[in-house]
Amino acid sequence: MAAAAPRHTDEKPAGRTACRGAHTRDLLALRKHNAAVLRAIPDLILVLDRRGRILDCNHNQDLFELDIDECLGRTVEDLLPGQTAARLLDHVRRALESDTLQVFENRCSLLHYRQRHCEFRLVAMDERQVMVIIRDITERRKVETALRVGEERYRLLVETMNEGLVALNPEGRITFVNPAFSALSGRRRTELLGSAVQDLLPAESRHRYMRAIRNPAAPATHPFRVSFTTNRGRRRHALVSPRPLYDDAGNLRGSLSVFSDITDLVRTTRRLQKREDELENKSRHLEESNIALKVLLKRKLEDEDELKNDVLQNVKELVHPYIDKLRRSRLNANQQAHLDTLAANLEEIVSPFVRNLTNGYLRLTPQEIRIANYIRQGRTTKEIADSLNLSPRTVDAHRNSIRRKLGINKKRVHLQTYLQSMSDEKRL
Amino acid sequence: MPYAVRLQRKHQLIEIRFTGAFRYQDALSARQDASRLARGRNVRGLLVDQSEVESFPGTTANMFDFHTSHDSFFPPGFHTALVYSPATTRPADARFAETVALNQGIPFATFTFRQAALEWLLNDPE
Repeated sequence: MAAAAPRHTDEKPAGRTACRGAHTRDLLALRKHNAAVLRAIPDLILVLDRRGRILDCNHNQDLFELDIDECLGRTVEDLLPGQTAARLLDHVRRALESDTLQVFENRCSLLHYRQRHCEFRLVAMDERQVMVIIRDITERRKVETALRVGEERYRLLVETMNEGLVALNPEGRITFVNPAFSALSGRRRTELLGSAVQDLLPAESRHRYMRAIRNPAAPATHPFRVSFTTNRGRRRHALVSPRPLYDDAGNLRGSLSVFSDITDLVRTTRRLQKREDELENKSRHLEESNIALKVLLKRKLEDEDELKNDVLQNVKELVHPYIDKLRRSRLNANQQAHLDTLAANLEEIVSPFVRNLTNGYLRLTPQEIRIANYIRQGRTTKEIADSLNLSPRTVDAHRNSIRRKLGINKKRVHLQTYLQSMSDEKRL
Repeated sequence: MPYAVRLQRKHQLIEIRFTGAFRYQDALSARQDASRLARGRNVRGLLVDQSEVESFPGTTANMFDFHTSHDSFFPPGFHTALVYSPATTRPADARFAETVALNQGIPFATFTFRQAALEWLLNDPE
């Protein structure tokens, strides 16, 4: 690619030949210099005429693997895909007409080369020629795409996260808040931006927070609890994790804080605590009631024992002497038998066994209780029938009923043994 | 000059209007001028109208740099509305500019209609 030679006006050649020789040397040196510059430039440089014919180009083999001989004399339509060539020709026209720098980017491939992103810069050299610099910006495009994706991801993250995010400048003024912090603080973003975050916090949290965001020794502070009041007067609670930010030189650049809303948690904890206190009070009250009931029960048992003893004593002192007197009087056999039964029944009434049989869930009839008592004493069906003026079949029916009510029906359990075992009060 | 900066006294807004071929350098200069004009005045926000530019050759890196340095020129919470023409600026580029600005904490929104931008600036969008 040729370049214009500068004029050296400060030299005074001795003669025309010497002057021409010096100019030639300068020209050659400049040409060599320009050729070196053009070879060093990583871009493809073309000189086009108005119709897009390539008049000159540099020898950039690295970029598009173009052979200069392959390019010269051809048009951009031979090198570039149709749309790109048309766009380039349009800019060639604009550059020639307006004499302004034309810049555009396009995805294209030269000849058989793989697709690349290119930046085209066009500048008019004179009224007929345009210089086109084609720069491979594929790598830059990749970085830009990554940057766009990263920014979009960051935005999505901070706008949808449940935690409040606050960025402060070194003076402690808010420079960024996400919607979650706005909701947490009950203030609009525009209200928050530029204000001092410590103004939101009560005095007890403020000092700790300010120390955390300015302490270089603690780049990652343990989260701690802060409380603040929204502009509607509502009390909010948050767990805050502040983190100071430093530049490469170690200067404080600001800070970033994450606020986790724990208001519901705090309220629930308080409710639970209140409930626990209530339960504790109730538990204490029940314990006291239990103690009182135990005392009452003990007293009742004692009264019961006393009553039993009184009854027994009365039976012994007021009933038995008369039974004994009756025994000693002249009684016929039948009367004697009735008296024996009376004495036995009286004995059994005051015994635990009969009380067990009359227990609610057994529901034995008085006749069944009498028969069960005889069975326990080892009397036979016939003897019982005679004593109670019943037929043996009736006694057997009562026996079956007793077995059923005791839950030993159709079981290999001896009724007399079973009834004797019931004398033990603990069994029922 | 491819841009003009003026104070809209009626709405207390600074307006930058770009015309012709848009250059990144012009955007930087215009922002500096607007910042100077806003200083000491109770300005509500900045309206950037680039709907009449002929081309928008700003790169992704330009847009990123521009918005990440915005806080040096305007106070936190200063609203900026950008009006663009889909004919010269891709909506994806406008969205990217908005994203970068919002990620920096700048209240920034892009519009294709000037009136919508004005309403956003005047009616306290939140």
